[in-house]
Amino acid sequence: MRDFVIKSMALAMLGGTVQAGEPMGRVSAPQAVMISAYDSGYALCSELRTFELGRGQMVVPLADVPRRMLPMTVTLLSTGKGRAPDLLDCVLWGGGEASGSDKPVLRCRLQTQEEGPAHLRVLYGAEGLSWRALYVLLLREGQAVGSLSVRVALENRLGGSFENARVRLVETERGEYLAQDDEPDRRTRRMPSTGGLRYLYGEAEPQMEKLAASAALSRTFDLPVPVNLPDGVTTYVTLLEQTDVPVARFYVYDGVRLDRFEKNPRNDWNYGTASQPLVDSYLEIRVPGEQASAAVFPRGRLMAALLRRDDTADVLGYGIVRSPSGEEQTIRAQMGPARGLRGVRERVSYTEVTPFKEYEESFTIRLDNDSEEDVEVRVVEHLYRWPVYEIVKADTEYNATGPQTIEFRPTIKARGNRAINYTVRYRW
Amino acid sequence: MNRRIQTLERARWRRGIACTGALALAVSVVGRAEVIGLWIADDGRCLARDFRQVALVEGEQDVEFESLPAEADLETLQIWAPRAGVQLLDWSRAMKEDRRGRVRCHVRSQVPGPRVGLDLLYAFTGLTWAAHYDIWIRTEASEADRAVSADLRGSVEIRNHTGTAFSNVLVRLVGRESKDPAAKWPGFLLLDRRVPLSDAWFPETSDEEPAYAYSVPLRVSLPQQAEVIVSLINQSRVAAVREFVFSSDEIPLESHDFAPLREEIRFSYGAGAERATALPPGRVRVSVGPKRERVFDAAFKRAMPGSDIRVDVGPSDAVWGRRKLVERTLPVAGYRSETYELQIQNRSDSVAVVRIEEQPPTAPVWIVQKTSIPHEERVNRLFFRCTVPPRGEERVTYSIRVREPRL
Repeated sequence: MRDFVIKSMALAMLGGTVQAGEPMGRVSAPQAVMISAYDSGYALCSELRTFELGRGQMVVPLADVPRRMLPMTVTLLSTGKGRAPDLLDCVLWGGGEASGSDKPVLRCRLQTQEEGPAHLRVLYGAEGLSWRALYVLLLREGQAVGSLSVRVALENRLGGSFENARVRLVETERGEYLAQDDEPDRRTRRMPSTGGLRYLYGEAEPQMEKLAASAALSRTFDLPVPVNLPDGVTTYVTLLEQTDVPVARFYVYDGVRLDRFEKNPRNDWNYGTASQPLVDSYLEIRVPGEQASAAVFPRGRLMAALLRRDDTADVLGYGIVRSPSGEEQTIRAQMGPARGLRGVRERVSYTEVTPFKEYEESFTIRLDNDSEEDVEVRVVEHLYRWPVYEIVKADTEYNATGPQTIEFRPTIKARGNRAINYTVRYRW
Repeated sequence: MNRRIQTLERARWRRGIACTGALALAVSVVGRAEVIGLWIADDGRCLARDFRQVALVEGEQDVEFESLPAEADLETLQIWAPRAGVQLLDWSRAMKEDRRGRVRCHVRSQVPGPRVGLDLLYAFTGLTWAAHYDIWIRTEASEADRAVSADLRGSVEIRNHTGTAFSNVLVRLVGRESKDPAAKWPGFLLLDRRVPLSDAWFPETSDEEPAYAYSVPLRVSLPQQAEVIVSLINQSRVAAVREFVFSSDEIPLESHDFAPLREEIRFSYGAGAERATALPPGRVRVSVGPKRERVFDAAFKRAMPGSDIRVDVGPSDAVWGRRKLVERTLPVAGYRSETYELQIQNRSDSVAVVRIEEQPPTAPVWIVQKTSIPHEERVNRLFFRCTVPPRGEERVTYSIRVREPRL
């Protein structure tokens, strides 16, 4: 006890604001730690401590606080009926060379009218606790089910350790845009409301101007177990592990490529004649509601791997999981370009049937499949020139999937190829 | 449906209460791993699947794995043992000095056993690969211009930059096409991506190309911090065909002089061979002639068994060509007629096969009226094929009906 008081006084004097003879209080180590970890790197910590206080003003040194806490955010809350003491000032001391101590101490000057022990909850913010979620899907060759594992990585750079902390993961809109670099395909990146294009130093092309992204929470997820978070260590926690999850893989080829010079789809005969070769792959993972209700699905990355019959494994792709939807929790993710699939879209003829009022345009879409399995590709064709159109010839069945969009679904055999030909006639 | 929803909360609270319980925190150390397969992408991403045996008790326990690469992305670590029902609960790198480099995993096992087999899967970085090829176009000394056969040798160089050795593993490679380093020629400018310089007018687009997977035919051992070269293909004296390419991109219309045509050597890869596998893209050193007199480097595009490999050996002095506008009529009702002639001279003593790729140098909307030899039409281009006798000449003409551009 005497040692504790001496150390507390020494620390308080090192703080530089303690007045001689100011009484020192005692406080316990933190218990029942709860942390709200924001995806922007901010952490809101809440811990239970028992204070030994006297009447009037008193200085209390709180040990075991993280180095990167924000003292101006400290708040004391009473857990009982009594009133919490008034916090007059506080200083974060230590953790640096000047202090002569490795561990930081928060020295708080309190004023209270009640004497004796007080159970208080201490709230404070801190910078440096980040989290990210990863979905790992394992598929076996030739099977339409897989095993899904959802895990969270918690990287503790707060400058302090926590034991048995209950963690709440907080998603914000701001965090979504901070994580955009993980997006595998820049075509699908989403931006907040934009004011226009601006040049950024070092960038060759002007970038969309970001106006605002809210830092308020949009969704929260509680980790099912308390975790230990040692300082400087990344801890991984499994949220869900489930086998025999139905998985659908499908491929989409949308071959048209438009550029900034092509302004008039009706009159420009070159409009839409450029092509791109990538076939996109998608995954749909259905987690039945009964199982999904016990789990959480935070925003995160998805890695899909295929366990082959020869016991090797292939990465099928990486994608982004935004949020499952529907009663049956369905996780949809674009996995980037499909491996072994290539498309070419060629315009093979352009004829004016009646000058300036009607014309026909024919296309050939060729798909090569160099993979080892038969695949069905959804070939999306946009009839972008005019809303009044008619497919006058097509050698493959198609469906209209939108006002000016049709979709073919050919199957391409392994190591094979397939061509689709169609002619569209526009009138106005 | 077999489901394994975790009931971690209760278990971990128990663990929190009995925090240092000897059974719950018994640590098994697993050192030796048998890596089964490696997957190496050309963007530096790798995936390893390995197999280990460990003594497990029923319930929760800590297992420490050694010899996982320091470059492993632990977020992707996956552990399963179908027979023991092992679940991975939480994990992190061991921080104590004497355990540095180990990965501590807190697992739950439903079945105890002294040697339970665990499958591990994890992504990591630190392996790279590059394919190299050597093609020798052999010609007979008596007919120096004529290609008769080709040799193809290829290997893949795998570099292991990690501190972990992998022995006797199956390797799968994933890569995109190498970029063709060929220089672009100036030419007639249209807003068509196939025309030289047109890229200056188009916005920069993604360089993404479809990726393809390739299996290395042999099992490979990769010592730590070392590079290993594995043979992919070795075929000798495959019959080769010589072709000349008459491309409108390279031969301007207004030139009155003849220009040399590009020479292309074509031979078949792996036709009929049972064990031939797809060859990944890479760099190739091509040598031509009985004594390898001409040597140059080029890009090797991926090749599938049974496909043709084409080698562009550059302009040839054996076959020459030029293009001429023969006739252009005045416009009538917004249309005019144009006739072009493609003249080919064979200055060698052997027959020359010529492939013509012609983009009419005119406005982009046109219809073919007649051609002197059969043709194919694809994407505003005409394709012809003809044979020119030794010391002979061939003229290919075509007429098109062109719509006058409206401004």
